[in-house]
Amino acid sequence: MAGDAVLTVAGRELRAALRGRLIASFGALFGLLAVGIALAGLGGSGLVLVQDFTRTAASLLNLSLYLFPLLGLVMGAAAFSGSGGDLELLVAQPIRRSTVLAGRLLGLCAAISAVALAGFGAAGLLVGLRAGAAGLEGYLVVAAASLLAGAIGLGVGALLGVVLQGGWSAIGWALAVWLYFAVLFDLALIGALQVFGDARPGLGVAAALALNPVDALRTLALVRLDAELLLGPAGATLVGAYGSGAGFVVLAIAAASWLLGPGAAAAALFARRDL
Amino acid sequence: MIRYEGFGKRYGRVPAVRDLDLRVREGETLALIGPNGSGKTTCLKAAVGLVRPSAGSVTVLGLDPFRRPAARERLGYLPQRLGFPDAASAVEVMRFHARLRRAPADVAPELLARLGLAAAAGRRTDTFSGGMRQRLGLAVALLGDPAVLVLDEPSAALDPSASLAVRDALRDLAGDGRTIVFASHDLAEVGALADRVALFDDGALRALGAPRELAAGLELPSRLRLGGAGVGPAAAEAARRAGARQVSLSGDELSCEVPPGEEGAVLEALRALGPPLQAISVVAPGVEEVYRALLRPAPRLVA
Repeated sequence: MAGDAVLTVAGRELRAALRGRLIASFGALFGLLAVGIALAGLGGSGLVLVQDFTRTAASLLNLSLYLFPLLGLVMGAAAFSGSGGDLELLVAQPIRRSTVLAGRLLGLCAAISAVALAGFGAAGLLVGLRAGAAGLEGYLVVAAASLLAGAIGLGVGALLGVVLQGGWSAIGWALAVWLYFAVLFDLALIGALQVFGDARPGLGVAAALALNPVDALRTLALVRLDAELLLGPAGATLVGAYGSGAGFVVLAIAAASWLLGPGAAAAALFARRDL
Repeated sequence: MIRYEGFGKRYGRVPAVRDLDLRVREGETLALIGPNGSGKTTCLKAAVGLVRPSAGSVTVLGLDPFRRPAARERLGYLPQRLGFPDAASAVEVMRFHARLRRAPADVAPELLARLGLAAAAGRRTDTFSGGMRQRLGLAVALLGDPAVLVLDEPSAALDPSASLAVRDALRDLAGDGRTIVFASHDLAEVGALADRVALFDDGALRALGAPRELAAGLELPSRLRLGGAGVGPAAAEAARRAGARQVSLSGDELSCEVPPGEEGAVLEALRALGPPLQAISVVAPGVEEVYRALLRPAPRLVA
């Protein structure tokens, strides 16, 4: 029954999200930008070149790693802060709170996947038809990284919603966390590297990148793209440091921890929270 | 059905409910009344498992509703603030909750019809009026034919028509033998529906009992009104002498308060004046009088 209930809640969340304004607006924005980037890439290359999937992926990487965590954070915070008024009614049903949490997260994750599929799918179709399948693997890696970033945002947002409860304060904090992911952390890291005078990629930098899931995912995705072609010698250094070995493992563990940790913490707190 | 034993709840340092012992009897309609912040909603939420007791315990059909979802299988709940997903139709909302409650989905149309929502079953709930949303919430609470209904301000913020419709629905449900616990600020609604009243103030139960029992315990007066040719200063004086208080004359109508048990003596004294009396009404003290009496500084009373 618990599994059925999780799927029932997830299905409801997915339908509600797909009908909601947030997903519709975000999906339209991301779809337009993704197709625009794909067209700009194709236009810039004149006749189609073999790296067009790679170049589109590289262009989409930054955009999607800004947008998907934002979407996840806001949706997660709104879903568990009780701002919609239906959380109380849901928890009052004869199901476990863990079922409510798992179902909501699963449904929202499916909604984010639908947005990713639509945006990356439309852009990918365009590029594929014009440029062929070369570089498709890297493109799929970027899509997967974006989806993971959205899922991480969901978990962090859910944790904020459970802890803060008030709808607007949870969403406000979600936006602050996004600012940290997207801007503040990078500024702080660049500043720190300047101060300490060693900007070479290594385990220390990997450990620092682990503090920001977006940067960890960005690095992991970049080393799976044709980084040398995209970034020149810097890309080669990046692949050397994080393409395999300890650097890669640190970043992968960081991404997995960000994916599972906040969700698990949200589940533990939600089980005890007053509504 | 629902039992609070030494139940207490604090939100941080703020006590919401203190040391509550209360047993909701099978088949009764119990109304929780009191000012805002007096602890009514916390008590209801504890029965549904939405808040965890800070002290004591709450059980529903012998189970702890916070830890055991099974306690909620035979319990329907209408929250104070209702929310449904955007763009979901009433019938979708019903089907979803029916699945979670393992109730047959085909009862949804019947319940919607029972609450006057048959014509709106396919409509998006975000186009519903407040009264329609409240009735849909009630329909959701009735899924699975629960033995206990816990309703938090079922007619709050409704217009008179919607409020009366909800009141009629609750009266029907009480007639089915269900146990109903509801919080309300509408004392007329409470008087019309409740078998017993629990009056809360500042997180504590101040009074518990049937309105008549509580009024009798407080020795609250009845309200007597009468008119006719015999009503005048002489009648007012006769009423006073017979024990009536707060005697007032307005045209050919006399009204006064009569201590419990003195109604017959006052009427007899008035009849003895000679001219016939008309339009006699004796209104026994109700929930409103009990509320007024108890929310002034008064001794604790549990009838």
